[in-house]
Amino acid sequence: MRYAIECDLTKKYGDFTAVEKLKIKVPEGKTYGFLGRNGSGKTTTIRMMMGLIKPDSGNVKIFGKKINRGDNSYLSQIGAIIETPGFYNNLSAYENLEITCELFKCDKQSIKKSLTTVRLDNVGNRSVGKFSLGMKQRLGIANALIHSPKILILDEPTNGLDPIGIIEMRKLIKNLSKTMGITILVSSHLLNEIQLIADYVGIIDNGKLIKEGSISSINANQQNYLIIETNNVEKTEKVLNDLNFKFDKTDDFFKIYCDYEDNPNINKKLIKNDLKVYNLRSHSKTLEERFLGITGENSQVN
Amino acid sequence: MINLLKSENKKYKNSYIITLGLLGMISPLIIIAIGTFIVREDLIIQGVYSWHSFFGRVISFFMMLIGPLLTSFIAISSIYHEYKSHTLENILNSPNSRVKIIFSKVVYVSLMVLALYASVAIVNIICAFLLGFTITEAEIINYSSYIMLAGITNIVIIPLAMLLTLIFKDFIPAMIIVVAGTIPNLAAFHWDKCYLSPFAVPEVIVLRVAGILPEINIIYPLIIITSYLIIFLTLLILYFKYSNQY
Repeated sequence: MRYAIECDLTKKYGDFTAVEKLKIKVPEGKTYGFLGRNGSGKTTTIRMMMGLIKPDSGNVKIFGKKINRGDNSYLSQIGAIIETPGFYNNLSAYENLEITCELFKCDKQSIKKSLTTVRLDNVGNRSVGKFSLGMKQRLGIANALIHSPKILILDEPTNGLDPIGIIEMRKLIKNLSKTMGITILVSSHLLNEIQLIADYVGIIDNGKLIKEGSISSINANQQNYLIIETNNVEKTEKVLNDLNFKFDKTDDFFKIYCDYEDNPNINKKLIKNDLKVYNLRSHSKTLEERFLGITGENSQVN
Repeated sequence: MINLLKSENKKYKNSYIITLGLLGMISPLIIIAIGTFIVREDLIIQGVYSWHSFFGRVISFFMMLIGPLLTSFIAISSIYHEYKSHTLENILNSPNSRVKIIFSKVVYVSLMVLALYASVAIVNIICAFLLGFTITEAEIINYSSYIMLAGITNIVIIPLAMLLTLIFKDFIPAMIIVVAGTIPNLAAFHWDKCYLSPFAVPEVIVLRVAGILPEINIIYPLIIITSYLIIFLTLLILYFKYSNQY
């Protein structure tokens, strides 16, 4: 697999370690969710990738090429919004994008295209000072896309947005990934957002990478509980007690706290005991439950 | 570099910086002209109070306060405006070297300051006409040259003011230092070493060239101003290049 971004970074501020030996690999053409609590080191990592902060040790590779802090040419392949998208409020959306066009020496035709992509083409001549936060976030994406980058880095793109704004931003990111095929790195503390947008996920806590992989691999085999409905509650309870599993009983079903791999054995045992299994449903942990579990474990280790 | 200068130029459209800078530069001159007209109208008509006397007051006032303060204000605003609107990151996220980015800012602000001084030179000539002074071609050339020299020498303050704004990431500390720094300017007629201050050295050079401070040896202020320019520009570039900007 080819990677658009590979990094191995450490950054300390005095005694405080903001990022420690953080190794992440962002696969090319995929959407990578960079997940972590507020203050976990996501923005510091992104700033180091963009050359805004010098790492204490480590390096960043863009498409396999190690970047050098003195050479900013790699930035022509990246479009980024870091935290709040910045614009000159005295200028219109179009004029702000014209400035970005000058900075990237790109064709001014791309301004209209970018504004259309984020559905701001009808307000291009309006002063940015009159834009809502949601419009500014979308303009931020237009600004990041103006030079047709191969990598798009979005740091907390849904911060401060209302629910409709969040849905619009999610649609926009999904659409960009689908239609333009660019690599997208989205950082967020909103677990459900990452679950809905990303193909790959990296979970960071206290400056350390805790888990990285495809979103399906992180979700898979992470059973929270198994739900079982049978024709005989008493008998089922006895079987489960014999199997030594922890479970909750309701009037209609059992909630069994077991691993995914145990499901066939439970089913087998129930059938062996002449029980009719009407429903056997695995309930996976949400990314939120996984995240809290992972970061909780990590906090205990520390 | 040209693309960076073009982007700098676009940023100032509809901004208060140019308007305030222009008003700040021109209004004191107009106020001095109105004051002169009210108080000395008879002397002007009699030819006792000349354009030379008027210009002496204008250039002294300009070099003591308005010139260095407004030059600093524009330089500080050029950086602070980027912090305030969170746009410095946009520039740093572009594939331009940091040296080019900051150098183009210095060049653009210098050009803007020179344009403002040129407008002062033009208003000075207009005021002289309106006040009814006897005007010679040599006076027009000389006085306009002194004002432009004031603009050129004040460029030394630009990298210093920008550096202070970058260090403090704020407008107020840099402006306080600038205001405090202009205090030696008021002592130009009483302290022959006031050119040691980076804010006063342009004043000493202009007043010396204009013949208002004839006893000063111009070599020392010239050495000092050149040294300051090199030092401030080098420090600014090094700080911008190697510090973490966010």
